[in-house]
Amino acid sequence: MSSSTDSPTLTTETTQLSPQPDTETAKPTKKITLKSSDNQIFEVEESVAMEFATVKSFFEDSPSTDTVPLPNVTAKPLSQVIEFCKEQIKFKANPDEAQKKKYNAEFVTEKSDKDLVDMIPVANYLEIKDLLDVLNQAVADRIENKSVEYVRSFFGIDNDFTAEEEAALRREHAWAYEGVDED
Amino acid sequence: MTSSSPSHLQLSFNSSTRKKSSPVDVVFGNDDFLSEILSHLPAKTVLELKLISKKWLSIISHPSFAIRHSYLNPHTISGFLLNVSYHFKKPSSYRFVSIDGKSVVHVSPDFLLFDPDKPGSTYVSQSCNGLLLCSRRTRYSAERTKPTQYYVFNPTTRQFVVLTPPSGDGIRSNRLQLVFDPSKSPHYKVLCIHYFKSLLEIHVYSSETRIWKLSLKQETFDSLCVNLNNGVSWNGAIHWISPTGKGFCFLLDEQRLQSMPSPPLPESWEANSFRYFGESGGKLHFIGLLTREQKPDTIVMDANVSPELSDDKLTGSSSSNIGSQYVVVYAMEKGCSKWFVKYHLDVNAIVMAYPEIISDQDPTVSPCFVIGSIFVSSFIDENNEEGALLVINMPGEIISYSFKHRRFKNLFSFHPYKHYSCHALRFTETLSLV
Repeated sequence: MSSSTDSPTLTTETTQLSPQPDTETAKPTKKITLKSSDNQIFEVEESVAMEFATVKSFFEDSPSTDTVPLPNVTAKPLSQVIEFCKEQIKFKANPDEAQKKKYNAEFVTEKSDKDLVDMIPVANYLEIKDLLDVLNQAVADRIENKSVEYVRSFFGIDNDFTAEEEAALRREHAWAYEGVDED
Repeated sequence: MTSSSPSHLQLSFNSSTRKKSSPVDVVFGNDDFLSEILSHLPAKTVLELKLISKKWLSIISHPSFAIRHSYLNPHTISGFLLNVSYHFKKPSSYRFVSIDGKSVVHVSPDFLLFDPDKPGSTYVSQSCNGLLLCSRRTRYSAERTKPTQYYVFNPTTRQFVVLTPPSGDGIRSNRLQLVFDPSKSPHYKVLCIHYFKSLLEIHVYSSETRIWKLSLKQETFDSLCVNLNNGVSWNGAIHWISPTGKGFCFLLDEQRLQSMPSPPLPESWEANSFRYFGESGGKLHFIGLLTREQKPDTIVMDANVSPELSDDKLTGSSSSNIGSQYVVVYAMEKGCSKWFVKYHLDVNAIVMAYPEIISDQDPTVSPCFVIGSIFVSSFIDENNEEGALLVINMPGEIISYSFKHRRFKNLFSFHPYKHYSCHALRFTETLSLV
């Protein structure tokens, strides 16, 4: 996990990642073209694209379109989201809860903090509820039981409380901060 | 009851508000994304994160966040709040014990001094998905006429409200009952049950309206048939059962009483074999001690006994009275109107693990604690790691038995005290509003 090194400096970056290589062109399944905000083209199978509620309704509204523009989505998180959905399709065909759980856990474990965080608005925009739950839980797990200072640096947040305000807050919740882990 | 199931995050981000925004800025410039992440954290962690920044403080403090968080984390039991009394040898106290017995916390004496206006000793009578129903009696004779003060208290957030139950027309006996399930509604209800001779009145308080309403008045009620102390909220109704297995319930929405089925107890069942009545994991439970002869046919011999206990050993120790018993857990599923035997435990297994339960025949025993019997303090069904857990009061300690792992575990030792009485309340951390 590369969490501690890259998290405090979450900045906009130009993604260098190339689009998913299209290895399955031989198959006669229908492909749908997605275009990211940074003008990368992704060809995905229709079944995968239909996992994205936003794309699905786009097609329902204008069935003749061949390319779906995704103006809010950059290529890197989109490629990861596509990777996730491809696997979910397989689990839909052959339900195996244990394997699915295992895959979901591995999917988030190998991602950097930034990758996880970057995927959240994409999963939300594309309305992929399962992925959104997995991501929210994964980010939550990474900050659980961590110090306030760690969480601030994780999200790149500055402390805007005065010393007095902070002390008052700590007093107010003294029981929650010190109660159950001591003794 | 108003059902509040906050809708799932449904927003698309507005790229026009930020120029060249990276997704990171979008996530952490957007309260809804942040609030969803925080909803996946335990209540205690969330409270700590109020210190991150003013923005986080405002998100976490918002009532809608508390509602969403409790809705997503409705029944996470983290341990037990033990109310221990040592029969005048030591002042009674509260302890927090984690569900695996690994962490024991002496709850600080000011834990229940949440109301600075009313000093005095507070008693926790009920715990319901994170909220506590507390009462405070005035101790001194000069103030004896003052009514008991009641509270609904959230120990996690330390918020509380004062309840003033209706007095009832000259009826002295009343019982309060807290009803709260954040997976159904963010609002709780409190029942005030008045009964006297054949009259029964039930007033219901709703945290949504903040008022008490007379919900039921029945003049032909037989108050002797049940114990109105041990009300259990389950399936939209409050259930009461007598040690003989006869019970009834009060349907909250329909505001009427209804009889409930009795567990299939043996004919020779005696009231003093009753041990526990409660709810867990969406099921209602009735626990009793059955003798070998009373044992229902459905119980397979020794099915729940640890593998190292051979049949010979078990029958060998069954000569003592206690060893010839079974702890039997009857359960009733939601939408079902029948009890069935869900779990059972051969008492010999307890005797093998804790021989002192029969060997220690101390004649100076307090009348409140009979050596040679099994006292069930709590029962949790389908707890994730440990499976179903039975909490048993033993001489000098409290133990749990996991039906899944067939293992006993010490939860808390009262050393050097052997005789005590202990009330184990399930403890849940919640941000729920009071």
